[in-house]
Amino acid sequence: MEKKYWKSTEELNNRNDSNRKADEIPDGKSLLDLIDQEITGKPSSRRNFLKFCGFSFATAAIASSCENPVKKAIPYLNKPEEVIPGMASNYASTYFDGAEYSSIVVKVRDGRPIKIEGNTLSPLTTGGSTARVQASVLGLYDGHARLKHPSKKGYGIDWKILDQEVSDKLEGLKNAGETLVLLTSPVIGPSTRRLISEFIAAYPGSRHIVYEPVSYSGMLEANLESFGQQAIPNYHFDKAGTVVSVGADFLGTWLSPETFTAAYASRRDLTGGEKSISWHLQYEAGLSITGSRADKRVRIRPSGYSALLTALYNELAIRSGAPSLPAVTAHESVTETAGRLWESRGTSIVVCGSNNKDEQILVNAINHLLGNIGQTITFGDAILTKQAVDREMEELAAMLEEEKAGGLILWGVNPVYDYYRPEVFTKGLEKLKMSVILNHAQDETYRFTEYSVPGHHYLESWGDAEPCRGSYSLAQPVIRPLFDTRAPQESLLKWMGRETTWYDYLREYWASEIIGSSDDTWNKVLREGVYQKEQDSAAPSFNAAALTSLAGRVKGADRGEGIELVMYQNIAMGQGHHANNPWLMELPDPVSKVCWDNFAAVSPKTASELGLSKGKMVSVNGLEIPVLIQPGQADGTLSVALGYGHSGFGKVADGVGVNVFPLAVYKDGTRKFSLPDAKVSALARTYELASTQMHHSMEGRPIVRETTLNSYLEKPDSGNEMHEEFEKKHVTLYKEVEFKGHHWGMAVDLNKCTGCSTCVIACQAENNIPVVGKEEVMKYRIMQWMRIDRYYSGDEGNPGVVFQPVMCQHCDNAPCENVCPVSATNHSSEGLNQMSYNRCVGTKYCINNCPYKVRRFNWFRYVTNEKFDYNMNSDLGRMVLNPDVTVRERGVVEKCSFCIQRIQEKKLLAKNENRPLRDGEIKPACMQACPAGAIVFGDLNDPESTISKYFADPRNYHLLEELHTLPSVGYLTLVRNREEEQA
Amino acid sequence: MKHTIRKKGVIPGIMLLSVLLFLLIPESLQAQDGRQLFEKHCTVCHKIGEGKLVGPDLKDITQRRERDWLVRFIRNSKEMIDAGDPLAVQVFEENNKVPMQAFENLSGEEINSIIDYIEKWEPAKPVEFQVDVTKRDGFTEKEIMRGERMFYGLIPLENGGTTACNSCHVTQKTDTLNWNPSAHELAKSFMEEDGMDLYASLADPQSAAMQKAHGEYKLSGEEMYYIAAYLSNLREDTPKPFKTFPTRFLLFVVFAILMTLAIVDLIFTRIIKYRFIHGIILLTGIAIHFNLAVTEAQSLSRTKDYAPDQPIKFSHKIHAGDNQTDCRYCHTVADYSKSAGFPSNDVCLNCHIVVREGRNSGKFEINKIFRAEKSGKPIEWIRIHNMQEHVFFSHAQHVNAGKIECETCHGPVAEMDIMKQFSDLSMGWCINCHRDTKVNFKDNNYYSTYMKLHDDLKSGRIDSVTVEQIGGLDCMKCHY
Repeated sequence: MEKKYWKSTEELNNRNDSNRKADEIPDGKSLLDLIDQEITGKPSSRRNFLKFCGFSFATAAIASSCENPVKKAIPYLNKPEEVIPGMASNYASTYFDGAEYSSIVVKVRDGRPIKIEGNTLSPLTTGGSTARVQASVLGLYDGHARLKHPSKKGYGIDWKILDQEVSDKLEGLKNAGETLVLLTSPVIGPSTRRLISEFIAAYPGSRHIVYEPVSYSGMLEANLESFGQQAIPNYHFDKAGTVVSVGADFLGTWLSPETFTAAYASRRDLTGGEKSISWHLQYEAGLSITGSRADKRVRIRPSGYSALLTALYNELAIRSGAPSLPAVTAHESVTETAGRLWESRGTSIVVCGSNNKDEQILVNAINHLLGNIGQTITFGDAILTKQAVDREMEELAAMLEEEKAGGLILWGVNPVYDYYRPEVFTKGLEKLKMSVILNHAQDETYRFTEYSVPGHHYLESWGDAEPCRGSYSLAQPVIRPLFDTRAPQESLLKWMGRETTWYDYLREYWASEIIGSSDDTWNKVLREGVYQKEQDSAAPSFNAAALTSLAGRVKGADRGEGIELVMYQNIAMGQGHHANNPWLMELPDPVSKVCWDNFAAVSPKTASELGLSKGKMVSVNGLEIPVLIQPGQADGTLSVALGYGHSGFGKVADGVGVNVFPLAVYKDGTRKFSLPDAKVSALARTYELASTQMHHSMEGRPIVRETTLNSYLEKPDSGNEMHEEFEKKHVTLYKEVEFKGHHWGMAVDLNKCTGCSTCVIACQAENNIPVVGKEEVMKYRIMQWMRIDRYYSGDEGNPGVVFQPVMCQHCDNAPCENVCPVSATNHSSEGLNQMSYNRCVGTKYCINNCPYKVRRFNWFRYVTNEKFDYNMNSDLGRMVLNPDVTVRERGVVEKCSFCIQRIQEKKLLAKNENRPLRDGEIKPACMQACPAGAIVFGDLNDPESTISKYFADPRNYHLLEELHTLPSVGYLTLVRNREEEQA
Repeated sequence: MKHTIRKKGVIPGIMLLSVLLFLLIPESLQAQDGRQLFEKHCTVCHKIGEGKLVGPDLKDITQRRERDWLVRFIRNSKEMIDAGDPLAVQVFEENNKVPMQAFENLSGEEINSIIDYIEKWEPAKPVEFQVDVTKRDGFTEKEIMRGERMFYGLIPLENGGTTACNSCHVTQKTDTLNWNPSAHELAKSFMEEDGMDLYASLADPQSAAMQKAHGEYKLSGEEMYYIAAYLSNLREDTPKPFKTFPTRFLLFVVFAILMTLAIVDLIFTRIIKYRFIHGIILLTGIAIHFNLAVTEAQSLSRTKDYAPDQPIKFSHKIHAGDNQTDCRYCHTVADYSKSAGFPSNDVCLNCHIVVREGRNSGKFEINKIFRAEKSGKPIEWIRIHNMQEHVFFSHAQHVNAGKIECETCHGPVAEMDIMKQFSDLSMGWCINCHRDTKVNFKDNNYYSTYMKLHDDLKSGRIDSVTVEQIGGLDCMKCHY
């Protein structure tokens, strides 16, 4: 309670926020500059007034004299049995973008996929999803970037001619004995894997190389040495009482974040009367969401990982009596860490995000000493989504440079953008006898290849996946291909001269290898989307020889000299596959709260040493990047997000941010994304970042409540003592509103929320929320109905970080309702604060009077305005809109509705089935998307419901409850597993 | 109906009369005709000379089978099969063991007339014309003009008499009270690929309705040629819109002028001495203008009584009224979905694969279903009930959960030959109904969670629960 929370360094130091843009309108421009440049260029005058008057009178006259348009209703010729017009169908499918796997359910309304949900039947992803999965549906309707027909050197070509030419060239390469390389992203479909091996066999001398922009090559090779398996084990965070992560952002971007988030959150749950939670220590350089969640966070530079892990190993080796490595000095916390780990042998996890083989061997040795292998870390269900070995890519690069390769087929990769030496490909591709790209959308590499053979979007094609050993899932098309495209597998089959279709090939494979030939089983798997097969779960034997060979290579401690550059993946962009997705572009990074840009994050201390300030440009090894001062950043480091700075990728992605992939280095057999001794120099230029950080600031009130595990066990309402006080003062002069039927409420367990922002995108997809662009974000006009507030507390260098999702609080005593002059916002009989768009006249009084600042104003008609060229102003882009939610007009206020359309849908279903509503049946989009299960929704009038239990929990409190707004949203205090409050 | 007459203007009384007369023609007149009987009972499963359908081709059947055997077989084939008649069993086996339907209601005379018809059947000989019957364009201006005059009944027919085609096949845009296809529709169908064969249908009318209507007009080939010329030309024309008399606008203008004159006279000319006359004019004028403004504003985008021409002259009266078809037989998804659902073409075909001839419209309208099936282009109906787009109305809620009859909102559909919008679909109309309608509170288990209302009911504080009491007036009940 006494803790002082602050949202940015500017606030902490009481400086003015440089990002206050809306207060001053630059260059004398007014709000109307987007409406009509010509008129507003001149000062307001009588003439302009008359012009506007004349225009509106004319429009009114025309509008009133018009007849109602004739609307047509065109039924099916033959209605498919399973389609009910006006009702959504759901199809299980699989999402895999080359980096991230998710088992999904696609909601299809009248033939259009409009929303992605997690598949609750999947034992891996258990119904969760991530922001990137949620947003992927928009890629289907990207009419700008998607490739619409096959082409040769940029000119359209007929499929028949293309197939003939490619087959001839392949035959030519084979006869000449030249090497053909198939360069793909990881192939997790077992049938595709077999198809590729058949393709390779058909062309002797050809090779299949897997490439990932950010690979786990070091880990794969280390595991091969330590455990004899070139595989990545599965990590069971639900079984781990102690978690130590060295630079692995496992809740955000590392390996399989949605699976890990669910498992991790289950160990942070206190709502079922649990007496313990896991202990999580994070060593990292940049502040990630995983680091923000940690009970203890230690700032360390990537060059110190090696020494840290060696020291940790030595500490554990002493305890277990294993042979030690040469002693090194490392961070002082190692002894304590080792102690904690040793106590929880077999129930702990140590992970490392580094791509260095030696460091991963150390991690393996540590986990082996702790007895975690086979317990919390299992190879039986090893993760198969990471397959790239960096060495092979280097071999390809050498072949291209030496002109030894004859042909190259690229599939799902974009090396011109994300390989650290793009010139190898820009030059090499042109010299090849044949180059073919099978990607479904345009990218940097596509321009340099001879043939473009566009594949389907994943929602248009058949496919399968084996994300972990023994876990299978199917992907099925949910819409007919929008453009003249063809599944890449179909192309390969065709070029091999095979007559079979890809679908038949897939079915044949599944019948012979996985499920048998029963149609019923196939239909069942197709309906459920997933299939599990028993796997041998024996732990592999540990090979200590790998470790002993390390002894000679042990590195000394990081001396802290120079500036180290750290390239990381952020929540929205990941490796940059979805950079053309406007939803993700405008998703504020949960930690920095910046969108529409990447930046160089530096710690306040380093910034003052280097003379940097927010928005100042720096040159990092020749790349010019704007600076953001990031509390929690390790001193002497500079973090820059990957995935930005595209060119020729699409109208949204192009020119946004800086591409730092070329700064990666290849060393010791792997590509590394940290660079010691970066050349950093400040430039004179400044740059404005669009940040939502000072939006909606809630000045210094107890809005996030936090306590420690010990205090909580002593007194469950610790940190939340004032809640009872406020409840006591709960009196009113007015007649209390009575909710006779339902009383909807929502609760957010801050202990489970990781700030991953999946809910934000899910909400945006469900509720037709427009994207407004960087300029408008800088004017505080971002439209997202949900936001993740992030607060810092304590030391500026290494602060405590908390996330708090904020949506409309649906106050039963709502300040917004009282001030609306037209009663456009009022209270429903079920406790919802409802918004009637057609009544709203846009006074914005409600926005001003809302203490939570959750209301948004439609400054423009985003849905037709050409200036907002994202997804909503084209016929194709609008296909993603949810027909159950009104598209808002210019000049009206909007806000979270608790997904009223879903409430109404489920209420109706219950009525028609003649039964009461079940608890948990209604899932607002945010709740359904949350991989951690942090959001709960239900009926407060039902004493048995989960939401009622959450509200009765001593940890429950309401935002700004002292205002007596009586919100229907509750928050459960954050409980950290640490000894004392961090100052 | 009444309203449409007012709105759509004058309808020729004769037309109405003839339609009524036509409806009254007793069916027995045609009963003895073998062809009629064959088409009514047999064509579902049999063809003559065109191969097997469900049952065998009946060409030359009388040469293959005894007439007596045929009569018995038609009357009840299953009995014969059960009795072990070897021929009957053979036929049964040959036709996938699908027994023929029994026709015990047919008299011996009727069956014999059917057999006679089959016996005498000959492949249709194409009618020979002196003119080019395939010609569909390139007619001369003179031919078109002559065709037009003929269509309007200005030229006597060669075979005697005159007729105005346009008295049945109207040339205006709207002809919603006429069961016959309009001239434009004829032209469209004539010009379409695989469309109507004008010459054949005029020379040998196919449907009972057409036989009746065209029976006395025997056109010569040359005359048909001219009519074809006229129709081919008409296809290019857009139909003339039907204009209603602008009463309200005239009222507005007249009073505007009167008021202006009154003011001018009051201030400048002063011709009328009695000032109260000016006063009356001004007051009445203002009242009328105000009234016009209010009613016009209220009716903005409201379309009560909207009854547009549909692409098919579909009659709800015949389907839902006379034939007692359940609304949900065609509007299948009303119980589950927001929309009630327009029947897809195959739903029409469920019945119309058999019923190929309409009582009123002959074959012309029903043929459109088959043409849609063949061309793959669904029929584009005109939507009558258009809710505003920010209104989320659910049929499932009202029809299934609320057990509201369709007629409550859609009116006496079973009496509507032409479907029209019965309710104004205004918000006031919705709200009033939500205020008054009682909820089926006790029988639906969903409402068991409304404890407080159940208590009130038990204690007798309220005797019933209206939609309003369970949140029926919440904005977000309908708007979200």
